[in-house]
Amino acid sequence: MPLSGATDREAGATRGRGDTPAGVAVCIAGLEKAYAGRKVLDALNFSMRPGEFAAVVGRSGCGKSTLLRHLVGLELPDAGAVYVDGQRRDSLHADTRMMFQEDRLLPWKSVLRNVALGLDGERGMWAARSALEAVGLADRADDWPAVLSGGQKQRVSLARALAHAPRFLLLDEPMGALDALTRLEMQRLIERLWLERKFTTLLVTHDVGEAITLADRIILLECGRIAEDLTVDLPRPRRRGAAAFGRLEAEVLEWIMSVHGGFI
Amino acid sequence: MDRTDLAVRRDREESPGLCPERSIAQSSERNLDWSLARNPVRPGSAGGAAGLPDAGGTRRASAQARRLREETVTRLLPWLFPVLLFLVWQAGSSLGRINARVLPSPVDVFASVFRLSASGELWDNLRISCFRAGCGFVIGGGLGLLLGFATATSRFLETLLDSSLQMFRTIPHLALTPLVIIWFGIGEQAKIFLIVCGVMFPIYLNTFHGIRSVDPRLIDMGRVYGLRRRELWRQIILPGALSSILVGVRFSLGVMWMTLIVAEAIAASSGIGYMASNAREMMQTDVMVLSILLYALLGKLADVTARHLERRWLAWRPEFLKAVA
Repeated sequence: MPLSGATDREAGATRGRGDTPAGVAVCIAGLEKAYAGRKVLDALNFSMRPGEFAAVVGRSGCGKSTLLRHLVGLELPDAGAVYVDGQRRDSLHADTRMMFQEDRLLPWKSVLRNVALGLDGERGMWAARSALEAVGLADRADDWPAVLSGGQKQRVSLARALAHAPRFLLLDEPMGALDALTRLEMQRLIERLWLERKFTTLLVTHDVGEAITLADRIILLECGRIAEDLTVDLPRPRRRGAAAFGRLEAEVLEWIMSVHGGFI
Repeated sequence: MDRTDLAVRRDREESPGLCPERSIAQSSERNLDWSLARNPVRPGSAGGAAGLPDAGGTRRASAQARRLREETVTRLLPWLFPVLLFLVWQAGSSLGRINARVLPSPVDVFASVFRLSASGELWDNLRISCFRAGCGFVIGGGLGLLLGFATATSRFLETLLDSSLQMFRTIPHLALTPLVIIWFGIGEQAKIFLIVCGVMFPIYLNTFHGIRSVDPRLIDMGRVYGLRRRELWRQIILPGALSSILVGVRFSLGVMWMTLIVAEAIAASSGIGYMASNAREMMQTDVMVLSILLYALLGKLADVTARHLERRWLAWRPEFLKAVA
């Protein structure tokens, strides 16, 4: 099937055109988690439409990464549940993939084999190759990860997620460690691929500007609870210079500061 | 942070006078040879570009010759000291400064090589020594590896076995020799048993350490990307532990030869160690020196093999990448 001559981009978008929607619907119901008696997630509720791009913003230690680990199935909640397309999710699942803050590439595998991780045989290799092409690194397929730059490594790890044709993509501050220009490039790349493939996406970030650039919706997390939930209604592509962008950014920052006002 | 960077970018865009020139200069640098680019050649001035490639070509050739020379030197340099040692040794013997009964000359030693290999004695002893070393290494290494895997993966087995293994490890295994002779006599089992004891622990310790120090974040990643237990082992845990395991292998290869020598010298009727201790009783110093040289050679051979495996299996490591480049 993949050898029938379809171009990469068509193949990536096949899911979008089929009868199953590209993205999943996600519902988080009363999610609770405590470590050593300290509540990290506190009766968290929210849901996402299929194909929605949401960003979770908040300070360090507010439960953002813990939330993602529950959504991907690496951890089980103390109470509450995650529902994906109406099904209760309590383990890892093939339709959900995650990108981490660090690239987490395996140094002993070539770039291509890293991207093909968890995929089988000829079809897996083919999916990996087209994912590498989608992030613009097809020519580095046979290199070791050690010779790539930080931005390239992160693009490889994005390709690794894309190769699995995920319907739910979780991004755990994947641009946090990149320099400013590389980060802008990466944001545009993620936006373009999301617009093409329309997987449901949840981005965790510290950077309010990044959240506004990419997300349809911004969720402000505070002490394991949702403090605010705001729809971003700006035309794409969004540019930081625009007045509406600046107003929104100021507004979101104002929330964060007001929530944390006591410390400053 | 973003904003300042953007501002810097805008600044550059607003001063078109500087940027295009620089980019042309850079691209010409990339296209021409570095030796050419040093001269301020203007792009487009055909004269300068046409006149220089010849000079660049010669320089390139001389650079190549220099690299070849450097390579030859690095290849030969390690041999300098051994060769020098032999020359001084031979000179000392020839001039009568070194008593042949204390230390025979290199020529005498080589003569003994021919004598012993003609009678087949050398090869028989070499073969039996290598057989013992190989058997002991495979059994001991296998046991160490297995125990390392077991204790590194199971808390229960770690609690059960690790403290005992650590206790056995501290026993100098050569101290067991007299007891081992009583248990096994002077047959093959005695030597192999001693080698097993010596080889097992370095590999056990390094395997355990290697597996335990695999980055748990990589394992999390593997799970998210759908790897099951077996695949996690094959693709993440084993390759992650491999460099540490190979350190154990190199270390235990050294222990292997040492143990063999001692065991053969004390309790054997064949092998290089036996050949050496037999020669001592007959005052054949040339054979004694030959045995020592053989040990050095075999040890070096084992080390080279281990290094070769490292280069092959750990080719991804930055230090080896640099070596290739």
